[in-house]
Amino acid sequence: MGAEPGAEDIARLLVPTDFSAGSERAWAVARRLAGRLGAELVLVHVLVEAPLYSEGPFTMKRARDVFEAARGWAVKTLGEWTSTAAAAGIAARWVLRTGVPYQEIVGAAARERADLIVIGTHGRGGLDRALLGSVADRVIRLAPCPVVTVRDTE
Amino acid sequence: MTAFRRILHPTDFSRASAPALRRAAALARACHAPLAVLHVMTPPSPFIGEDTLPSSYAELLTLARRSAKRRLAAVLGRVRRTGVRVKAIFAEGLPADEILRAARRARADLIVMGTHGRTGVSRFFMGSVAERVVRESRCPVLTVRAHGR
Repeated sequence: MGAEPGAEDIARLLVPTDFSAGSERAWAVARRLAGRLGAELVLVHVLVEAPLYSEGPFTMKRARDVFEAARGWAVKTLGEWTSTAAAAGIAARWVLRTGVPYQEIVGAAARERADLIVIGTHGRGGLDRALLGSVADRVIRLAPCPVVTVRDTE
Repeated sequence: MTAFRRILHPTDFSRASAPALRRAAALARACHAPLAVLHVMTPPSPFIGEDTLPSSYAELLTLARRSAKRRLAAVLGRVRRTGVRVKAIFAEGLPADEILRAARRARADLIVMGTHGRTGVSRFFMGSVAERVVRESRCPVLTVRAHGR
């Protein structure tokens, strides 16, 4: 079958999450796969900073408060999700970034030298099915490694 | 812990399919899961002009089928030698439709496919077949780019 890397070489799975139902399913798939392959999980969330900073000192303070609250909640939730993997004996850690989600995800995959990305998509039927989820779509096109997409609906 | 129980790999026999096939086989081995290798042949439309059916059309179709099945068997032989349980599925129709149908029928829980086959031009284009499968598949889809990763 040649010298191309196979499953044996999948040591690290990067799992981007926006804490949606789709990401939760992707996290479950990634946990099962990591368990089977003996791979490490890196959960990554990208915070999008609110663009309100030029509205004067009062608004700026409020925006910062909101942003800090969002960051705090993300940190707590990342910790909870990571511990579900750790409880099953799977090495897992989390990374929190701020910026444009698809760029940060692709960047994190490169930096962490991820062998695989497991990402949720918004798989809607009917008229909305054109919306794959622009983040997942861009990640598939630009990622430095293969990507597993997991739809949010069964 | 079972990761994937039934893996489906659609192939168009192109170079773009090769890395996806290797991934599929390696994952099947790691998960002790059987692998189904699917080829979808799209028969050329026999209607060239006003209801003109070339007399050789049926013959061409037979030859194309035979050739596709032979190539599929060759792929299977290569995978089997690596110790993976593998079977062939041959279908005719539009690739994305048939891939989604085969995945449902085989109750596949993972599809492993290349992101561009014969019509791909750059890394910014996923390939229309992969794109539809990613959108519509009920099971997870592992997309493997042909070059650069």
